[in-house]
Amino acid sequence: MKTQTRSRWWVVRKELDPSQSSILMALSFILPLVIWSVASYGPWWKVAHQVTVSAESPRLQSIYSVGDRLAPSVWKEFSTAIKEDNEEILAARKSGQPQASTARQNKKIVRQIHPIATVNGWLTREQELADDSIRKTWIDLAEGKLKATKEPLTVENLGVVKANAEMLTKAGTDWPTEALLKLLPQSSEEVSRPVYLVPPGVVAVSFWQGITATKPDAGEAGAERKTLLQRYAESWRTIVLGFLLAISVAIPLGLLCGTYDFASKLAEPFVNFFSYMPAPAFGVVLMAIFGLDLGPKIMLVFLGTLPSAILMISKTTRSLDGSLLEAAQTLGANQRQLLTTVVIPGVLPSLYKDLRLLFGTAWTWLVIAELLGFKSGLAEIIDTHGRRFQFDIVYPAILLIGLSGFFMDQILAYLARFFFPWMDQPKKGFLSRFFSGRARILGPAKQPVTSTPEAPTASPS
Amino acid sequence: MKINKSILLAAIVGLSSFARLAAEPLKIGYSDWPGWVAWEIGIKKGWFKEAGVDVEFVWMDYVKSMEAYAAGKLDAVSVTNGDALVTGATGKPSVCILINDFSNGNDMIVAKGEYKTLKDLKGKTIALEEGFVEHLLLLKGLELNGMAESDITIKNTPTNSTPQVFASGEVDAIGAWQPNSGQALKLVPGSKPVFTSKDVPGLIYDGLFCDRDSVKTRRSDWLKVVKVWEKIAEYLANEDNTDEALAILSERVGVKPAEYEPLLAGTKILSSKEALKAWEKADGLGSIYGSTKVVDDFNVKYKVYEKPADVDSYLDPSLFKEVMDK
Amino acid sequence: MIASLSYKDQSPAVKARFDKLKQRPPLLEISSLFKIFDSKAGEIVALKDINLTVHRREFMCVLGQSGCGKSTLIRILAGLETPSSGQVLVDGQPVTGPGRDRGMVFQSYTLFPWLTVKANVMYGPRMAGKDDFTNESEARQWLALVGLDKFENSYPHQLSGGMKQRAAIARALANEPRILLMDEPFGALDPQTRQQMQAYLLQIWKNVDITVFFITHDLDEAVFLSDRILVLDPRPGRVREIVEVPVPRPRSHDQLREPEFLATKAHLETIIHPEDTHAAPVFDKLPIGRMTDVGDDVE
Repeated sequence: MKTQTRSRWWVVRKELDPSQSSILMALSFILPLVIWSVASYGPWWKVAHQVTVSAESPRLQSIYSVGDRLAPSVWKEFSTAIKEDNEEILAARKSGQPQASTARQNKKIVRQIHPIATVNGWLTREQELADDSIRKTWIDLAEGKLKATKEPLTVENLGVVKANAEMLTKAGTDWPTEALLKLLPQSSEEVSRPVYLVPPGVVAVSFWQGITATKPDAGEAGAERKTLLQRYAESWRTIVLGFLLAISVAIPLGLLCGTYDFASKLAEPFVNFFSYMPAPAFGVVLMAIFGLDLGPKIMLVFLGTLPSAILMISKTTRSLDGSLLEAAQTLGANQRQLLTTVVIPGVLPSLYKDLRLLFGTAWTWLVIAELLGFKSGLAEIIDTHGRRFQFDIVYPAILLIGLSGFFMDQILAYLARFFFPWMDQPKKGFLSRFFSGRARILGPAKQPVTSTPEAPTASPS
Repeated sequence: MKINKSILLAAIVGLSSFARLAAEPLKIGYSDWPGWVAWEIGIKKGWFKEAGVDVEFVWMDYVKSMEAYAAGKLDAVSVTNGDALVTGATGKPSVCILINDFSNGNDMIVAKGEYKTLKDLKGKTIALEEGFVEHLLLLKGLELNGMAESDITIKNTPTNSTPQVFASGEVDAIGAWQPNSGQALKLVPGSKPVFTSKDVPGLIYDGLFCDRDSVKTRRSDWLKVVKVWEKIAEYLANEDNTDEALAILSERVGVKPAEYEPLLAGTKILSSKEALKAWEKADGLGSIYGSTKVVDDFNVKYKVYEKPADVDSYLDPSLFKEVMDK
Repeated sequence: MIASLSYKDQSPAVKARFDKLKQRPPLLEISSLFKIFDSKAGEIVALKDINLTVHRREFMCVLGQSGCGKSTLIRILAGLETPSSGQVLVDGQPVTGPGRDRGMVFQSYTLFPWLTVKANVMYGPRMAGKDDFTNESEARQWLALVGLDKFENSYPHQLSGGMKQRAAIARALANEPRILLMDEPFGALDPQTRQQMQAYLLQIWKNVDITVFFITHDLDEAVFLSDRILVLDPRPGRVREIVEVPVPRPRSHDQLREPEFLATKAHLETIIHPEDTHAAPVFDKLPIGRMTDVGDDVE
């Protein structure tokens, strides 16, 4: 390789050398990642207000919680509304006819301090509803016993704190019957990306939290109490059962159709027609027949996979080299022996490859299948959280499906060489290429780690 | 994996379509309407077990739950009185044994900021689930405003997709119930409700509609379910329980507790006294009989289905009254 | 010059050999064989009135241009196709389909790729239900005969083309057929391997009681291998001549320059015409250009 001073990158129909290949294969993943990062972290996204102190007002249609991101116009409407509420309360007090208020209304006003109190370490996260501690915080704050270390309250809000603390102290252990002042909304400025554009860092963290979570959906809204991995296992169960069912029908049928013209003419026209009817269209029927649990999901994967599996396997069977069959006939094989000793062993490697591809397509049915009846598996996350625009949770689930399909295929491709040692070395898959290529870059003297073990050579075993 | 195999087997032979055994739990479908999410309190607190009834609550999309009921996969489904008629006319009839609530503002037509009233929506596009409760609300609203269905264009959209559709800006308004309508309001700054069920209280009653045979054969079980509901209604009426209730309810639909609180006002959960009154046969929206009759006429008029329904056969106050008498 | 020598002049030894050969019982008899294919353009006569007798342990080659029906003929003999009319007898028995009495070696490598070389050789006997113990030891012997005993556990894809065809021959022979049908078996091999294989084949033929029916389009190969050569004319395929090869046995590639060999080959060349004669280039009107404006004459 020393003589080769410069490798050329663009040559028509010529394979690049392994190190070049590895670089490009790594880039094929890195480039989209870079585009994603640039898009998310680029300077073009407007600033939004992320609420740090919230309030409620009858003037507003919506309730804004801490963490919500608001467009500047909405923020203005929000702060103005609360300001007006406070002005009304003060005006009423001045006029000597203070606004009355229920205990609950005041309780809710007082609780609004909890998030910022948590940030500053005055309260713990769990004390959200611990009204006594929260009241104590107001009073301590008013007396100057507490100092904001991380997120200060505005001067106006400190005024509100003092005014309210006075009333709370006066009320003793009861709740004041007069309306308390509301804390004015505070916010921090945050980048406002479109909801669907979740930065890679956030997705990575969410993915990691998801797969390492041991408690079911800890702290997560939604009553479905399962961890991401449990859902992932559910998805696997659905897809594997559906797929196994499909191929256990498709393999015998496909072999028959590919071997006997009789079977082919009898079955394939209809199967071909059937394959044009989208499986999801039968969703309602499947629910009516198989209930709402696992049944319709498995059957959808089954129905989605079956027609193409039959057609593919019969085509594969038909493409078996005819001269092998003729050779076997001249060697005295009868019809049954042709099937068992030539057709079946002959098509196995191509069949294996077909099944690999079919398993890949089975994943595409999974999401639709899991939404039939009781939602389950990863699709439930995608559907439920997608509707709530929680794309930071949706993307890891999608990612998991993608990764599973991809690695499953690579692993199966890699295993083929052990199942079929009699095949010419199959073209190496992405993984083994990548790693062997990298091995060559890292340590030129080393043997490629994933090189195929030589198929049994001349020595008798 | 043993269970999987048996499920698989059941799937293959379609065993599940055969008659269910009496020992099986009552299967009840419920969806994201606040009045039905309230069942969650009974579930979480173990009140069904306490009452000695084996129930399985199945969380589903609203329309899918009706489909599942019509397909015979559920013993009961939580629907509005109007949609029970629709399901009955096109799928499988049912009978209401308890009223959860009537809609008091949580069903809304939400429009973009530039439209101040329902009248402004003339010639505009509205996304909602055709043939079901929000459609009814819209038609009623149009009627009250002297408009016709032809004045607007309807885009058939699953209710829990309406916030996204609304946010996309492709429609001018949507019809949805809470929490979907609330999400829509929040997603589109400046948008507001132009017509809500508060404008026609009693048009939409929400209840538990059961398989008619099941009510006959398993009456004692259903009585227990009614009893648990009364316990839930009582619990919710006490303000001391509000925080706990909000935590349970909001978690089910993935909304923050504080955001869920207003929804309780938009859904008027009936106390047993109020329910008793609603069960009285009378004309007008104050009675479920009157309301259902109004909706039936309405559905026939707007060709949701062809023939008027036998309204009385859909309503059976006897279980509720039996529980009250005890 | 040896121009005076005709391919028909046989030395006494060769003549004696042919006399002896014809005394042997006929092994393959083809009588009034026709094969007609239906196509869109109408009927195509692939074989027309073929009559031929091949004697036991004779080596017969079939020679002809493409389209003369060589392959059709051998496929009919193998039983892979049925004649339109006429009859084929092997050892007096009419051919009705593929059978163990006729082994075949194809031009394309038809070893079963999923079986080891040994298992390939054992395939025929296994299909006949013979016990594997005998099969295995016999397979080893056949492999030794074709020089592949060291490769019995290799898979076909690990063998060279020549080795594959040797294994294919062993596989055909292991079935103990009466006749070995070979359809251009060495067509895909390079010239050196091809010559080696021809020598191998003659060795095997010498040591095994087998009649060979060998199709080729290579004149040297036909003359080198055969006792007699059946020359077919194309369209419709019919017998042009049956040539008795006057080259004495045992044969070696040194004989390629002997007069008998050259005379036979010359004769074959005259009776096998290349298909098109009208494509000779016209030199009087060359395109004008740097390449055709030739200054000096190379001749």
